[in-house]
Amino acid sequence: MLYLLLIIPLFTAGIAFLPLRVKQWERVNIIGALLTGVVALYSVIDILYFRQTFDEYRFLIIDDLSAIFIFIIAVVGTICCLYTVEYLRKDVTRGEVEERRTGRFFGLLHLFIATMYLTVLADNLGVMWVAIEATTIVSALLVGFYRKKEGLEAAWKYLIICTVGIAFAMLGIILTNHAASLITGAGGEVSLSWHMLYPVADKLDPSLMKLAFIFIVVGYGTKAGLFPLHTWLPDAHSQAPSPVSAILSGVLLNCAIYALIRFHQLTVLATNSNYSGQILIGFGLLSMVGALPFILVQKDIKRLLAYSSVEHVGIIIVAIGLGGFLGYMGALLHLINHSLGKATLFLSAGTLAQEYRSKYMHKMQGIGQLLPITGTVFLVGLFAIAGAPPFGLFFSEMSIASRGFQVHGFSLGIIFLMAVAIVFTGLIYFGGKMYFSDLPNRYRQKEPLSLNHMLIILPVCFLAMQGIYMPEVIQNIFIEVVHYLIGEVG
Amino acid sequence: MINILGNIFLVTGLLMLSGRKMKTAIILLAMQSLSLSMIAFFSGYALGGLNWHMFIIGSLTILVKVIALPVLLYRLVNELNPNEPIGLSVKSLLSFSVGIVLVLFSYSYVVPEFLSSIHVDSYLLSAALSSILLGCFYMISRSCVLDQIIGIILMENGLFLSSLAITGGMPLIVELGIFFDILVGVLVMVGITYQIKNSCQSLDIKNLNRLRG
Repeated sequence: MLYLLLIIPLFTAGIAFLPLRVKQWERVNIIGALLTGVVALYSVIDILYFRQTFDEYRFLIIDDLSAIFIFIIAVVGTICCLYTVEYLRKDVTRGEVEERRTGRFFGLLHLFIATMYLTVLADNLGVMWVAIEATTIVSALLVGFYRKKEGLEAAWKYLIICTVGIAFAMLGIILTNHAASLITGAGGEVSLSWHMLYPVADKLDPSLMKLAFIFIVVGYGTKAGLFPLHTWLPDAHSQAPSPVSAILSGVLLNCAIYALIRFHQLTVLATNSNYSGQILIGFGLLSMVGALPFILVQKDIKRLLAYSSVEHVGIIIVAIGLGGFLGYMGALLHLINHSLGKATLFLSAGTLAQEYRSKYMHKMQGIGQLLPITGTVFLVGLFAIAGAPPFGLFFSEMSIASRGFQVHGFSLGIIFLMAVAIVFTGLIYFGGKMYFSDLPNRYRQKEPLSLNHMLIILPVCFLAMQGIYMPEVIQNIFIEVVHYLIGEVG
Repeated sequence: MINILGNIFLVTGLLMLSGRKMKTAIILLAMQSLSLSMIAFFSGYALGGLNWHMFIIGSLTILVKVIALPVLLYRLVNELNPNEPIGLSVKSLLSFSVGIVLVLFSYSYVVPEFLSSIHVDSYLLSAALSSILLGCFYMISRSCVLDQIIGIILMENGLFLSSLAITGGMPLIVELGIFFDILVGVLVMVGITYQIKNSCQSLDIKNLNRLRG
């Protein structure tokens, strides 16, 4: 079953690279995306609801934590693949992309999704590294897909910075391998499998693991976009085609966070202290505060959203560092909420930018009049991502903040809430200016409701639902996952 | 024997910093990779007889890093011919001395102090970490797109040697994955290099400065 999650997107990509007609490419993309999504959701339900265990797999493995990430990849990935169809059509009519290259785009998109599934399913920490490096390589091609100067620059920076950054993570993995081989003997394959390492993690050499964790944070932190290492992120997010930006921000950053969580748990078990947690809290707060000035003075709509991603990654990393029931619950909910919210925002912002032929916010006047549906969804999504109630992000941020007050007292909680509040004002200021302004006359047109609107309305509805009514089944699932995570750490 | 090869590894890395010509750097890089593969063969031999694991990664190193990538890069240099006076943002003598400082730094501080919890034969490890630092510096000190690819391979060589030095290699599947990644990664970088040349008419990364803030 798990292997299907790799095979279907790879197969889809293979067909999409064949020389077909545009209609056929689109059909292949839609079928592939839906199939992958269904299989992924099925395996998630299997493990989270029916509590099946997949211990028999050696190479790929799924547990409660990876199930959450698979859910995110499945939902956001499928939505973005489906949205791409219409988006690319518009790009082709506007002459941004040649028609014959659309097949390549779909192919790369599915390859990208396959590498992300491999990241969260790999049992071997080394294979996880290989998969994350593969995501960089594939997505760099997508970032530079328009072949414009700026796009190529962004792709190049992204490729080089992430490759160099992740090299340091490799050093961390080598050290982990060394620590593991000290206890298991020359254990070969066993020594890097996380599900075999966890039970014996308390025997790992603590000083080695502390050292390894520093390298890991630098390496995967680069990929996750933690503050001083984030430089590639706004460039890549702003230059990529919007569905790709949505996946980069909504899913790819999470894959790096996933790797950080695995190593964090390993380090906590080995050192029997919250050493790695402190590092994560430090980096997380730095990202939250560091992103502030860039958000407040931003002109480009997609860069604004990208810096908001830096801030949200910071929030999630702080929550993981804090740990405990509230911390992990907040982190998991925030992971999902941020992905859904950011995907909606990037997709709708992409459509807006296509209509206005500009990414600059001062040129986007009267979005509510030009595209009433997309514009409204964009504004609502902005409120959601800024953390206004009743949307889910409000609740996840609240639980992280209260855990912060609990563990580290006044200072951490205040910094956290201040950062969130300032970002809120910034985002709402920009959103309000774009929505409640008059449209220049030359743009007048109508916007009929279409399938694409459903795709961006759906995540927002889910976010709003969390604040209004959360079914008990889902609540229980989350509580169990959090208990599982706390249990792992002991 | 392994120590001699380790010295070759280190010296080729240092010489790359002093040179101005890209072709020389590529040849030196191939020589460094050759010494790396020899180290793999010899440490496999030292473990006793024919060690398949080491044999495979040693041969793959020859195939990928001694033959495929250098030939590819060499042809790229010939074709794109970055004749324009780009290259060093740091003078070659200065960059050579910075290289020596980095090597001394990793021999005298990083390995004995910072990494003191690793109890292994520190000689190879120091050479490996120096190579990682040299690769980073190589990328910073030059401003041609191609030089950054070379710098990344230099770093990758250092990583590879450190995995050999610390643990005697990673699990085979991981090693294969890393080879695949570096091969595909460099191919993609080469592809983007062509596109940059086409749209900027230059390979100087100083042209890549439009995205800010």
